[in-house]
Amino acid sequence: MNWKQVKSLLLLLLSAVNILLFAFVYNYYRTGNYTDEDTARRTVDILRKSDIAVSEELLTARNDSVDILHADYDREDYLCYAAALLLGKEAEGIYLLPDGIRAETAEGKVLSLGYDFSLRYVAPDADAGRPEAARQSAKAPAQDEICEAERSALEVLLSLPEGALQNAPCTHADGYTFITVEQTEGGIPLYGMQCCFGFSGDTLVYAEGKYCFGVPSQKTSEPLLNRINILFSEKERGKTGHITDIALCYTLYEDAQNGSLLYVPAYALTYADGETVAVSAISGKAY
Amino acid sequence: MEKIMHRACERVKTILITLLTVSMLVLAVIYIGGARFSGESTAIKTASLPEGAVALGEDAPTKLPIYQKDLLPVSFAGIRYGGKGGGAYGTEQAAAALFDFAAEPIHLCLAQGASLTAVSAADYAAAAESNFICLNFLTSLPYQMLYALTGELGAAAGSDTAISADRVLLSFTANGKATLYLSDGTSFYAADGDITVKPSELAAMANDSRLSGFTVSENGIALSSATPYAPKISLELPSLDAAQYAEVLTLLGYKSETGISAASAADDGFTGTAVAPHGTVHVGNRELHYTAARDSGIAISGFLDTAKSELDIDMYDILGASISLAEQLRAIAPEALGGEGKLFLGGFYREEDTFTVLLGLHTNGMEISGSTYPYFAKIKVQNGMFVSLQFRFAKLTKNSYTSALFPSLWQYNYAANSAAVRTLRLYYRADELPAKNLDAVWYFTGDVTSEEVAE
Repeated sequence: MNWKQVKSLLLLLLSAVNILLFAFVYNYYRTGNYTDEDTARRTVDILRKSDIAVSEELLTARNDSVDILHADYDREDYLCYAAALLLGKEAEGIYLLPDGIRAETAEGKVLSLGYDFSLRYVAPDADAGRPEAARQSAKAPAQDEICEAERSALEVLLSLPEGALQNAPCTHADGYTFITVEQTEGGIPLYGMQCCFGFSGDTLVYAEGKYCFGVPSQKTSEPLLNRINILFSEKERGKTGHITDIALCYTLYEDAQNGSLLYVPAYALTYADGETVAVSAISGKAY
Repeated sequence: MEKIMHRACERVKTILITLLTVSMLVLAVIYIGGARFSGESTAIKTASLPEGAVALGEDAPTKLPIYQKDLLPVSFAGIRYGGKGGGAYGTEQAAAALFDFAAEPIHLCLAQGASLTAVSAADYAAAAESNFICLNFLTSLPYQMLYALTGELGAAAGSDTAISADRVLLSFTANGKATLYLSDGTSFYAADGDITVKPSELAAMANDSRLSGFTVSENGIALSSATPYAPKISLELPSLDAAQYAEVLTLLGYKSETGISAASAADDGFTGTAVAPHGTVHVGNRELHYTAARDSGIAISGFLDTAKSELDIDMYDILGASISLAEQLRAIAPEALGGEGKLFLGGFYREEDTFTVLLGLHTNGMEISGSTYPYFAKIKVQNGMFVSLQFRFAKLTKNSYTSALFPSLWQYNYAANSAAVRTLRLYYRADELPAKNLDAVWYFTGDVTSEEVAE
C-alpha cells in the first residue's frame, strides 16, 4: 500500500468519524433542548396510565431557558413603599394585620396590603361602595370610549414604560374605567399576579387583586426542568385530570434571611376543570 | 500536466485530512463537554433556592434557629475512613463540609436518652486509630451548648458531671454506628446515642481531594503539616455616632424623654451615658456597656422569638436572647461591632444564679483575641434579666487574599513538637487597636510551656 492509498483510506475513515460525531452532537443537543414527537408520545402514554391526559402538542416544544431574578425585599419596607405609592403619600397610620397591613391617611383613604401582594383599595368618597358596584356591572367600552388617559395614568403609577398597558383589558361603568393588569416580567407572566385598577378620570379610586411592586436587580442562571419533568412531578404527587395548557411563568419566593424576593421560573398547568397549578421549574415542587 | 494534477490532488487530500482531523477533535470536545455540563447541571438543581426561601405570603422564618447561625466554627476538621481521609483547616470549605456532615450525629449523641460516660485518654486515642471524624473548635464549651449548636433544640442528655469540650471525635464502626468522644484536653468522655450513618457517605467524604494529611495527638488535637490559607486582616476602632447611640438606647429600653442622658461628639469619637431606673448604659470610644440597677435589668423575654414566663426561661433561652441582642446591636452599628467578622459562642458558664455568655469574633475559623480585645461581648443574665452587657468595638476588614498563603510552617512544627501540645490553633492577636495588616499566628498550650505564642 503506497502513501496515496493510505491518504485516501484516512480520508474515508475521517469522513465517517466526522459524520458519526456530527450526528451524535446534533442528536445530543436536539434532544437536550427539544422534546421530539416520539418522546412526547411515549410520555403521553405513560401519563395516561396514571390518569393524566395531555396532548402531544403541549410537550413537543423547545426547552425554555429563563433566569431566576432577584429583587431587594423586606416585608415591612415593601408594604410601606407600596402603600405610599398607591395612596400618593406616606400613610399616617399603619396597622399590622395577621396577613399584612392596613394603611390609612388623614383624608380617610384606607388600603389593605397582604404579604402575598394582595391589595384592596376603595377611594373614600361619599359613595364608598360605588366603584365596587360599578366594577360588577362593568362592560367593555364602546368604540368612542377610549381609555388612553387612564392607561397612561396607570403606567405612571406602576412605573411601566409608555404603551406597556396598550393591550390591557379595559371596561367602563358608572363613570369609572377599570383596567385589568396581568403582571409580567420580561414578557413572562407572574403567577397569580392580576389586579384590577379603577379610575375616575386620572384618579385612582379602586384597586383589587395582586400586584408586585418589586424591581428585579440581579439574575442567576439555573438549568430548568422541561415540561415532561414537570408532568412527571405531577404524577408523583398523585394528581389526575386533563391538562389543557402548560405555560412558563414566574412564581415569587421570599428569602427573608437574605432580604430578597426571588422570581423563580415555573410552569402553570391548567386542568380542564379550571384548576391551575404552578410547578417550580427548578425543584418540580408545586407552588 | 497529469503530474501537476496529481500533485494538486495530493495537496487537496492533505488539506482535507487536516481539516477533518481538526473538525473531529472539535466535535469530540463539544460532545464530551456538553455531556459533562449536562451532568453537573442536574446535580445543582436541588441547591438553587436559598435555605429558608418560602412561597410568597407564607410565614417566612425571618430568624434562623441558633444552630444555623454558624456560632460553632471549627479550627480544624478531619476524617479517616477505610484507610483513606485527610483534614482541613477551618479556613477551607472542606472543613465546613465535614462539620455539616458530623453536626447531626454529634447532636443526636448528645440528645436526651444518650449516655455520657467518663473514659480514659487511651480510649480516646484508640478511637482515633480507626474510622472517625474529628473536629477541633475555637474554644471549650459545655456539652449542652455543643448540643444546641449542632441541631434542632430539644433536651440535652443528662449528666452529673460538668462536661466541656473543645475537640470531639466521632468514631464509626464498619457498619456506620457512631460513638462521640469529647475532650477539653484533660478530661475525656464518650456519648453513645445509638446513631448510625451511611458508610457510603463516610467513604465519599474521606475521598474528598481537598483534604490534606493529618494525625491526631493522644489528647485529640489534630496536627497537620499542610500550610493553611490565612489572609491578613485590619482592625479599626470606630465608635458609634449619635444616631446609632439613639437606636441603641431604644433597643435597650431607654425612652428618649426619660433619664439623664449626656452625649458628646469629641475628636476621638462619640461618647454618651444614659441613666434610667433599670440601669445605666455608657458608650465610650472602645466599648458599650450596660449595668443594671439593683434588682432590675432588661428582660430577656423581649429578645426571644416566643413569649415566655420568667420562670420558664432556661439556658437555651438565655443563649438565644443573648445572640439576638448581639445581632440587633450589630445591625444598628455593623462597622463598630465587628465589621466583616463573624460571631461565635466563646463561652457559657454559670455562677450561682448568674449566667455568663461570652461571644467572640472570628474570621474563617480564626479568632480575634488579645490583651485589648479578649472577646467581642460579655453578657450576664440573672433572673431572666440582662444585668450586665459589654460589647467591644472593632471593625474587622479582610485584606486581599493575595499572598495569603500562611508562611509559618516552622512555627507550627515548633509548637507541635516542643511539648505535649494541649491546644493548637491559628488566631489573630489583637494586643493593640487599631491594627493594620495583622497576620494570623499560632496559639498553643503545652505541658512544658504553659502558654506561648509563636510568631
